[in-house]
Amino acid sequence: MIKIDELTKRYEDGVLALDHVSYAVEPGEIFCLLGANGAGKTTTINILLDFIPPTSGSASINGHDCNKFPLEAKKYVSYVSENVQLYGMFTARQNLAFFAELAGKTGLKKKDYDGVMRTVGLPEKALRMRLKHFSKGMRQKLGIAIALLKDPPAILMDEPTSGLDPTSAQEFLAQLRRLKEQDKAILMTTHDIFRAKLIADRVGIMKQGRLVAIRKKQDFKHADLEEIYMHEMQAAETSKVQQDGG
Amino acid sequence: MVADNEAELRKVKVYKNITPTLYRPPTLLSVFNAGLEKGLGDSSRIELESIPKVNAAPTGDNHYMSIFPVLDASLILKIVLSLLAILISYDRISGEKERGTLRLILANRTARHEVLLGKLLAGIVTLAVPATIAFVVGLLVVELSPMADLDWSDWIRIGLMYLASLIFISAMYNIGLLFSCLANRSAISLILGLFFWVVCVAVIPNGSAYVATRIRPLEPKEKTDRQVMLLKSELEKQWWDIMRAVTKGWSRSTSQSDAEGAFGNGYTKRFNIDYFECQQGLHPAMEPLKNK
Repeated sequence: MIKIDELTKRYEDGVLALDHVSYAVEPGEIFCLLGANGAGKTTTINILLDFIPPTSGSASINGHDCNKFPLEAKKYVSYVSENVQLYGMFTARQNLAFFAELAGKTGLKKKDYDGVMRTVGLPEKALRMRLKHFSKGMRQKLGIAIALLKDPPAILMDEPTSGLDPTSAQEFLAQLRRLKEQDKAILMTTHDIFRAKLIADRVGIMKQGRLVAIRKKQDFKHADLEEIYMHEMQAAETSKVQQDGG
Repeated sequence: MVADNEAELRKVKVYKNITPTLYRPPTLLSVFNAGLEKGLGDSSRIELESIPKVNAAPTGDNHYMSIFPVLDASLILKIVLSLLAILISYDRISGEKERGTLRLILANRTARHEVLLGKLLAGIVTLAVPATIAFVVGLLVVELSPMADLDWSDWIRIGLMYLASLIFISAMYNIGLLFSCLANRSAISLILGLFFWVVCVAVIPNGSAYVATRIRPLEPKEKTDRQVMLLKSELEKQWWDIMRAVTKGWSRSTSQSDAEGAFGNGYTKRFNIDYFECQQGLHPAMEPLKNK
């Protein structure tokens, strides 16, 4: 569903943000990208959404190249950002209606909005509340509600649990599991190793633009994912030093 | 004004004492753009034996008054609506970037040009409403005035002014939108927009006059005044030469004239004919002035 093939991105200032990265996310799979700041996680999402062009390689969603046919590719993907702000002066319903129309979903009825609010765990009365009165957790849930209204086969999430309190984060993970059951392909970037272990089917570990390792659920289900992460980072560092020395 | 002149006409006893004041009617389209209307005099006192001159403008004696512009539709457009255009446009894109909503919008099947076009149309429609109201109010003022009668050329002028106004506020809105696209923070786009507005509204109109005088300095006032005085004395000399030539050989009956006032037969019929011919430039004595 989501395919990254030899993707490379070098910014104009010479920084290599992505270095020949390749992987794929299948339907019904949650793929978590782990890595420090500047590892290239958000750059990957930016290329998938055609916010920036790749230097080389390709990224595609449902077989549509994100750089050559971005509007076609975006038909099949929703995006949940790290900090869902939306329009503070609009009510939740107005925000939902606006983004649903942008996604091509017209003629939605009250029961559609009520249904999606229930699904993400927001009370129906929240539909009439202005967004400026929402907590971060509520806004994050509304961001997922927007993604659900579009109902695409693929979802991109850029550090969605960042800043959420433990209860909201747990509710968020429960929501992700439901989306997985609906056969959605989910690519999620995060720093949160603890929650990545709970939810991910596979994790990709990135360091300075390179995908240094991909681990399956069985590799970290009964192991310490943080230890694996640190080990892979150390190994990547050693390998880079050897390459530079050689 | 007419009543004042009629009262004077009945009061004076001799023609030479009649000093009617002529008033220039206001320009119809000055409701939309006063231009130099208020800066120039709008009346002139006609006196025998002096060359008529236009009275000074109401603010003519107080030079400090000239710093206050005349409030008309064009001033509202130039100052108020252009500022409104900048204030409406400055965070159209940069504000969306700050809120993160631009990423959400563009994550859908929405092309960048569609977003920009939507912002552009919404802004122009928003600004066109007050601009249209200003013009409609101006038109109502003109149409409801019993003295005013708009002909087709006036309507064309008003239409062109309206069109130019829409283009102007659209251009200002576009500039604000451009700054909003270039800046990542709305505070920066606001500062850029306000700077541009100050340059357009204050610096260029005033600075260009200053630059023009630096490039081609005006002649000193004393020199111009001297030239005017010379011309005036030359004209007056010629005028008196003509009057002397015209009145040569006139017979004047003063017995009755002063007693009966201007409506009587104070001056002879010959005076009336000669005076009329002088005014029309038909009298042979006016020949020397015809080439001036």
